[in-house]
Amino acid sequence: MTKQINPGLVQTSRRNVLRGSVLAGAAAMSGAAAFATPRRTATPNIPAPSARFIEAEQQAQVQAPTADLSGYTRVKQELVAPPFAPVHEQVATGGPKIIEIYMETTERLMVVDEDTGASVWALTYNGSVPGPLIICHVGDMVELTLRNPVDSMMEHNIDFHASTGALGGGGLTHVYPGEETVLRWKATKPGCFTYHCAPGGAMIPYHVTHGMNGSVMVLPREGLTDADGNALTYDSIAYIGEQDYYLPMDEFGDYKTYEVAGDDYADSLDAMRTLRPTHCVFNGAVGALTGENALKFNVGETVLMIHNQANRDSRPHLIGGHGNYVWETSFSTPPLKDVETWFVRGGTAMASMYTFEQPGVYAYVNHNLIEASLLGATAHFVVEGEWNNDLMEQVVAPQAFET
Amino acid sequence: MTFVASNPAKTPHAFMKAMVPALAVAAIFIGGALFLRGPDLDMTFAPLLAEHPVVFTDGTALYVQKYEVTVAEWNACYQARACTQQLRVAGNRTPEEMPATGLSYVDVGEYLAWITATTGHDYRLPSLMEWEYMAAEVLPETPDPIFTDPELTWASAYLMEPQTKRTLRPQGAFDATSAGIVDLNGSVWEWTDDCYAGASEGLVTRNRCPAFFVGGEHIAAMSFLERDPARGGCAVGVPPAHLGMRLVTDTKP
Repeated sequence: MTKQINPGLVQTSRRNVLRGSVLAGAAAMSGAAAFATPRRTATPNIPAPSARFIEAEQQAQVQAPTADLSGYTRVKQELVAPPFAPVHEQVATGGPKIIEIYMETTERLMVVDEDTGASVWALTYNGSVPGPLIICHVGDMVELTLRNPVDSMMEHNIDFHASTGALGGGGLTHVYPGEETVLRWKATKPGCFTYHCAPGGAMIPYHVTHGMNGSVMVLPREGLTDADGNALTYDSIAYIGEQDYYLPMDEFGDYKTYEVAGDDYADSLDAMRTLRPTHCVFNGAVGALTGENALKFNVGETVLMIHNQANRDSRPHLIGGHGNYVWETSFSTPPLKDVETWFVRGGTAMASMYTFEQPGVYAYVNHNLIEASLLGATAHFVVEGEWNNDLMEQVVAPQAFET
Repeated sequence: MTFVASNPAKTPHAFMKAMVPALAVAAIFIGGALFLRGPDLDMTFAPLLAEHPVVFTDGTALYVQKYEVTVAEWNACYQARACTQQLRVAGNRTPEEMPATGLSYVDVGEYLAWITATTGHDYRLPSLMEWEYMAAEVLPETPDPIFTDPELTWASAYLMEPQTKRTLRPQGAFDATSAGIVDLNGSVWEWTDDCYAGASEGLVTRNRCPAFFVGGEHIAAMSFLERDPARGGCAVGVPPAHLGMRLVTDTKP
């Protein structure tokens, strides 16, 4: 990688308005101010890395020795929409790989809750909220081609928490409508990690709370293990992205609608400032993983549940089941065992593993039950198999008692 | 049943508390109606009935409101101070075309008392049986239970079939029956007067009933206090989208 986009050279005024951290904190703030309504308080002027710093980093990159890519095998990973996972190996075979992936920064109008008609101009990777799950092993390199379609309204980039340097790649991946970039980073830490858009200033939470986040799972080369080093394998993956939305409402409490992506910027900032999400949903919308969209499993099947929350804390609970193994932080740390409710630190992805023992319907919820029931953070798993009366039996069905 | 949210231990008190004002209002208006009976009755908001009555297999007829009670009709009750809630419509919709929603069983009782008093005619909610009978021809077939194992009856009614769109639409957006009743298969679930009390069936009196059935694309039991059945949560299944009402009467006005 010798050619980098030099943000300082971009001349068009609209781009400069939209520009984030790379150019300078000041540019990002002028973006916020340009959209702001007069009554709104000013966005705090958090210093962003200066253009000079970025230039220095790029210069250093040019001067650094070229990476030795011999010994790596190039493979393509076809990304798929959540809640599914791409084809992958649990235990790595062969030497390290360079995994080529492709993502487009798509802006699309999405219905968040059909009941109320609440919608959002979602900012997405590959059109889904969350963005697709990426899977690699420690020692592999991920080579992302990131393309921003011509019809986009906004600038986008990507910050991989799994990567090292340049703001997680955010400093090297700013793409404007009609541009593409390629970033290669090496996976050195095993675990589940979030990735998200981070254009700079208030645009960062704006993009993240409009759906622009997802997960990378970096598996140990030998696969997952328990505290004693015994192999732990799964039969399937449920990839769940929890999204908090802060949707602007009119004076009557109806959700506002907007013509194009970005039109809701000033209103969204006001709504975000309350820190009170109007929706907290799994996979982009209320009901995205319930009813006809419920996930199906079988008794005896082991599922790895990957939970991504790029913005705020969460506490998943599987109603009727458990987390047999839970990795809240990294795969370097032995998993917690037999957990009832586990913790998702805001700005992380994490994994929990469970083997179904009973058939029926399970609810996977954010166990802040207000968020689960009123804001939407509920998924359902429908499990087939034989009931085990040893584990549970209805001894007396509800009946009237003698008075 | 796909959605039962109630706390039977607490409901009787809460129910009585909630019903006292409604009953008081009903009493006032029934009293008022006695005075007004005759030329002073107000037929402005008398429900428009479907073209044909629903005739049951035993030959009895039921006269059914063509559309669900609208926001405009509801707000007349509010203006008369007989209904607690004032409703409003979103955006560019008019109150005359939108069904009144966000109504609990208690709310619905207020409207019933008011419309009966102002028109001098006895209107009521349909029973579940009546509702299912009048709606049968526009409802989708009941899907096969996803579990048949007797231990899994608690989960067997979970709906994995695609649902009718849940968005609230103006009246007339859904199907009409041969009797001319419109929107029975829409996104508004309609309160019936049938108590759901689980194992205590037949043992609880109506004014202590924790939940009533609502009619819609699938039948659900709903806590009498519920105005907006949120989707998701602990309950198994997909709850109704919106709660509203439709009047019926046994005698032609």
